[in-house]
Amino acid sequence: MVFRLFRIEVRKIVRRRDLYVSVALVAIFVAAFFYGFARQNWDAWFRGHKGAVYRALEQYSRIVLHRPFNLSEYTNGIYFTGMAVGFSFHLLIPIVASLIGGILVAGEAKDGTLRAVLIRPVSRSQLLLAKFGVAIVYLVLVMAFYVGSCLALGVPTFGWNHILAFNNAFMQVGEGRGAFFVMEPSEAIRRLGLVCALGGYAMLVVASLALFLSTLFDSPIVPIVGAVGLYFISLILGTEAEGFFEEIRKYLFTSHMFFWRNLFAKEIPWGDVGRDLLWCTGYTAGFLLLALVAFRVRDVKS
Amino acid sequence: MAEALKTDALVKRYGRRRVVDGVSLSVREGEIYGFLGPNGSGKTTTIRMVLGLIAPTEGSVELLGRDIADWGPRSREGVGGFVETPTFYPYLSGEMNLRTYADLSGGASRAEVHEAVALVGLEGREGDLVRTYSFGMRQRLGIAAALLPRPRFLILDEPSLGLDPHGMKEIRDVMLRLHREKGLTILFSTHLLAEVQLVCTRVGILQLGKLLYEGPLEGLLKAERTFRVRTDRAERAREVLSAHPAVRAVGVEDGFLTFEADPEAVPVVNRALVEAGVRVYELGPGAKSLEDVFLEMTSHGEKVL
Repeated sequence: MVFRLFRIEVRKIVRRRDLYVSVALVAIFVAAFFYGFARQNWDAWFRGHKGAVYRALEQYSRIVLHRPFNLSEYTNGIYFTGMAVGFSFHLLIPIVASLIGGILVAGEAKDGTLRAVLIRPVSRSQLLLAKFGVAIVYLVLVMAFYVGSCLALGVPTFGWNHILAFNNAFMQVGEGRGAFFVMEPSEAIRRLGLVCALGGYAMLVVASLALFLSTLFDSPIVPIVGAVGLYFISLILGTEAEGFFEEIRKYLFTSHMFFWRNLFAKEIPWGDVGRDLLWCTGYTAGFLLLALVAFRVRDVKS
Repeated sequence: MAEALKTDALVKRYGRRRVVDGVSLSVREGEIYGFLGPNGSGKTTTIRMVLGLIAPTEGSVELLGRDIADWGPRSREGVGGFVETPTFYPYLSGEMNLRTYADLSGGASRAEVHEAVALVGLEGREGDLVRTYSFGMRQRLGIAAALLPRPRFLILDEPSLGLDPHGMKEIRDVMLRLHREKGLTILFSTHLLAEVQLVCTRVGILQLGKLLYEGPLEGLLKAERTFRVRTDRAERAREVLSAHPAVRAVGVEDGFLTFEADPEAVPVVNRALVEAGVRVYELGPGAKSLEDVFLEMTSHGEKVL
């Protein structure tokens, strides 16, 4: 029954025009990022912002590779894609996850179709699980479109080559945050795939939160804005006010959603990644459980 | 006769307000049941509880012999309908909407979908997006959706709401056809009395959340105790009636003398008039229509039967 409901939900969302807003957002974001990346004077930027890294790379090229250092080799299509994915996982994909999670129940409540569905012999729990399944598929498709667009634009324009990776972080590295290393393109693509899969999995926390809020309201705006708002509140409490909120920091869901950065470390710290994955699983399951309870007892008056 | 719907002391309370207050309905299989009540009387809330959209605060509901508390969603198998106005996915065609809703209830063949479309007179438009449909077409599509797949019992909430007289007649004709040709049991709520008189076999009247009357339409009209009489000597007749122990509330209306009495007492009253030398040209039930009865009942909120 869940599978049949899932098929019906898929049939509906592929024809919903408003859900293509995410695709449009992604396309605009990729285009803007591509423009910025192409216009960036990477050489000057690296010299100015990461002087130590730049000097180390010069030495690395001269001593290990026996050839002059050329930064453009590293700012290639894979690097462009990795950077774009890094940015999107902080800002864009959580919004997309909120959109799909928020619209699935509250959107139908607003349109009145929820009551038309629920007067049929349909289990509310199964319906909600089917909708969550659709949210997962939607997120996967949006991310696939995103990464695919980045690679399709980036690789022909900026080339296919090895990339620079840094322990503990990939793009947001600062001076002295860890040693850099050069990653082969095939390995970089593999890691990128891991980032998308596991980072996308972490986004289910936001999607399930939005789905829970979606079961409480008759308008999709409230759960979408609510989920995005809670995401940013959690993010701010966990990062900007670090120290001040140290006690609660580990309980904030955003404190466990960015483990994917570690997936570009030379040696992936699977222990830490696994722990964060468990946290994310717990949050997702918790929000989903709340959504199931709220949806089962909800009086549908819209 | 088996019951398609049976509610027992159904209550819905929001805070301290009892929106539905101890409603016990009984819809027998094979009948067209009119669920009457003014706006805000609790009809839609009752239907929502019956169809599982909202949970009763107290009481029980049996649909086609299945208690909804025990059977859950499966209690709605074999039941079709809509609540308030039928709603559809505007970005899907009429046919795709029908297939989508039918799939939720186990699926329907292409032939069944087309049969439902034909039954409500939407052939040729089923491929169009629902957002291009008029209000009346959506109502008809709502009935088509309720017919898939093969229900035994239809529950339609205000199916004629917002329709012009033409559209209302179409909906009535569809209901009568479904009842006649497919033997469906139909419960429909309305506040339009003419519809009830034209279509229903039994009615339930709801006011302020309470069931005031349930039974055959004739029973409702028979329940009236007002009669009117036309004679050659109105003054004398009035004296006789006023003095008769079985007669109450003598009056004049539209040129007739009117009086209230138990129906069994009417022949005795007639004889009294004749024996008093009054020629009785006409004596019969008062001219009260269902509308009069309904207004009287719902304005007092009293249980008359």
